[in-house]
Amino acid sequence: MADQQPSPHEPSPRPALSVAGGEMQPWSDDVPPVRPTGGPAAAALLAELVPASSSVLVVGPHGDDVVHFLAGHAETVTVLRRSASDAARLAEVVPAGVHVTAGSLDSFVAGSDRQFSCVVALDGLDRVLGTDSPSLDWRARLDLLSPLLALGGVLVLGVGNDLSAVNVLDGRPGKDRFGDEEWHPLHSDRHRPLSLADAQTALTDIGLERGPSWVRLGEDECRGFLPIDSVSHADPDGALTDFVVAAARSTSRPLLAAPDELVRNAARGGLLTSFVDGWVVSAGTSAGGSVGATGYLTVHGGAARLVTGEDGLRLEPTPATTRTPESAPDTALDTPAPGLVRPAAQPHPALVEGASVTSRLLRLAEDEDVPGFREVARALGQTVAQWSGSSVLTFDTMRLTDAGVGPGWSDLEWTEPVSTAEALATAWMLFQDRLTVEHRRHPWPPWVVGDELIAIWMSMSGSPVPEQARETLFTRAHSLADAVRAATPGGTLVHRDVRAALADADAATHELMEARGHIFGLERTIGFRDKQLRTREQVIRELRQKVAKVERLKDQKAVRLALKARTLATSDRRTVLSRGKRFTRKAVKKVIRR
Amino acid sequence: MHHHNHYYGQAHILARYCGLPDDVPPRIRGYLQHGWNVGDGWNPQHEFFDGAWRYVWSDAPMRRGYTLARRNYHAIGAPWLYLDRLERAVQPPAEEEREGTLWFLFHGWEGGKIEGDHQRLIDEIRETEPGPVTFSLYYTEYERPEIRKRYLKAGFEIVSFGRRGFSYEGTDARFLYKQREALLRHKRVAANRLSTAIFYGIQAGCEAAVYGDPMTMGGEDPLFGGVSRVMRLWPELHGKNIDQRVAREIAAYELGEPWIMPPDELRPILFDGVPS
Repeated sequence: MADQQPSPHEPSPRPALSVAGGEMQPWSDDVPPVRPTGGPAAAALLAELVPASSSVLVVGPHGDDVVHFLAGHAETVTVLRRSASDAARLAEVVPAGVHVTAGSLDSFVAGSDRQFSCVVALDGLDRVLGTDSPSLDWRARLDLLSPLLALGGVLVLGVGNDLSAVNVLDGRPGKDRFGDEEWHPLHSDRHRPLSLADAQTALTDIGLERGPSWVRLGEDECRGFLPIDSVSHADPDGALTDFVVAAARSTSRPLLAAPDELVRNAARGGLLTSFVDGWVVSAGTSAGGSVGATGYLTVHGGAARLVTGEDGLRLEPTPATTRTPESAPDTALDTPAPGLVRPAAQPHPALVEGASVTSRLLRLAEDEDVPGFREVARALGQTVAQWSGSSVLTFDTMRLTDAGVGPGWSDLEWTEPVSTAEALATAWMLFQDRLTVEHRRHPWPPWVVGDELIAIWMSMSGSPVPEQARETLFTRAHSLADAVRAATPGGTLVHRDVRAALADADAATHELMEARGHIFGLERTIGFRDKQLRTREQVIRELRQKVAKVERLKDQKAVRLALKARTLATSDRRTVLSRGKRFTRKAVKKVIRR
Repeated sequence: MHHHNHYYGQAHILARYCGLPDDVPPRIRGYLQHGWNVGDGWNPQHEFFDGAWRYVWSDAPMRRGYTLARRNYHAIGAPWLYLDRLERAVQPPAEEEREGTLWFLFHGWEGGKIEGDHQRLIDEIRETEPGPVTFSLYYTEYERPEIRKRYLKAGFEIVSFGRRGFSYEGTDARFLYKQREALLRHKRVAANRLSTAIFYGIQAGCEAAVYGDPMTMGGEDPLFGGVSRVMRLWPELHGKNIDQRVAREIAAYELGEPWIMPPDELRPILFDGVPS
């Protein structure tokens, strides 16, 4: 290796740092928006692929935790970074024995005839050349790696997918979509693989024996790696698809639409591996045994392994790769959950087989099948009531199994005691997000959406909320839901997507139309009531006329006589006699007077 | 909100079920299905305001209404079912012997009179029904002496359950109560068209039959397909001897048994400005 002295502007290198040439300065691949590939899941994957006694070359930007892991795992570790400052910083923090080289891949290859038993390029081949390198296409960059790999060596290569859901849905034109490293149009390169098959064929073309491959989740940072076969057959409403959706939703790109629908439809069509963020292809690894059958996910507490057991897919924590604060990069996943939730100290292994409860509820709501919705809600209420742990239960993590509803995987826990009613209300609030923010079809009238609908669902779950307790409970549940949203990857899109914005505008217009309709309806009611009053007024008027007519009749002699006769007829005998006597006396007196 | 919601005292029943005053029921924020038909429960020309919410008995009218470009449905179950629950809670039906047939003549309305061969229908009823027949006439037919007398003369007992009212006036809020009590006394229910009363009767435990001249009504809008479509869709409910188990299943579905809600759920969804 033809080492050169670094620039006088760089701090004096430790013995572990050298310069191969072609380094970029000033430049950093460590800063957002596109971070180095790393995280506990990456370390867990490499633990499976990298032979323990190997000499490893790490090409391109990788997280410090990956380098730390390899330092403790392999015999020798050499890291090639194109940024002089990134290399210098890394050299300061890596364990003794790790050698860091600043420079471009072409310069490194040109100046070295050394071969490695393992080459790790999980970050891919987009960030390995400098501004002074020749404009090499993807295939030419891959060709540069070949001479670095010893015969029978292991290659672990990350490949980005330009057909990923977030790239397809990116709201920006291609020329504005990528970063400052695009001095060479990387993404219009005709030799860039657009499928897993393209990438695997490229390995074969350079004479390597193809090994197992994984789906890579997460673009800016690595959320995890899932086995290709499992993803190819993933249930659209199952946990694997949920992980792909969550990774896509975590993007910082401005999107035309939320990726959920595209990803789930891809899963329905068996095309999910074509719409993921990328792939990891390998060569020289053992194709037998369980290699390639296990998936790795970055979770709050570190990494979790996704294994297929007798009872189905199971997620279990991997203590060996548990992230420590000093080894962890500052990624969004490590952002401490605000206040009310925190990463679970000891996540429990959990079955993640079956559709999520959220997917079932969403479908029932779209079908306007309220009886079916009520049935699931009842089962949910029972499950939550029986759940005694401090784990955060949401309907996204809870799974539908043959036996009913299972709690599913949760790597978050409450920091304070949370009652069953609070946990249930929180879960319903998070579900309502999905229903309303995504403008899903559902049967409930707009005026009950919000806390009123939460109260209805709570009642369906067997936990009716008395009116007097509602404000306290829902205020608390809103706080809990906010904490979970903030701590859940992809819980909220970084940017509001265009489709949702247009739908919001339409919804506002619709709301206005319905408000006008409501006013019209109220006016109609008033009109009907007015008509009713006028009808009654007419009845009263007619009755009054009848009364007046009767009053007038009473003044007539014949009527008076008839009334008197009726009075006599209805009086008792003594009264009649006394009245008769009185009448007779008066009549006699009249006669005498005359 | 619409005065049709008061027809047959349905708004009153739902208000009572929700623990609200049923002498003057609160305003319903939309339109309440007040009878069964092969469409969405309303006639083809019914007036709806923009964004109107439509409370139907089951999801069947909801789906049929979708094709009429009508939206905003919410299935809540028929008020009849709520009445049944309320009344059973107060006074379970006596286990007395049911007798005879309560026969419902397809009725007209304030805007349309029925036309048909009544004598032929009487003859057919006589030769079909094994026991005494009580003949139910809606007031539009009950107040036509030529019809009423014909059925009286035939030896049938005549009943009428009252008026549905108009513009909140003249509504017999006990209409459905009386109809239910009458159905609970009879062994069979029959009509010359598959209609609301048949479903009510089946729910009340009567054996059902639909036969005889379906008659015609002036101004009937054929948009929904009329009697012939009803017969094509529910052939199992037409005839003098039908499978009562199937009838009960269909009636439970069309009346919306699965969509019945508890009062706390129904109250905020149905009534304007009334929280749960």
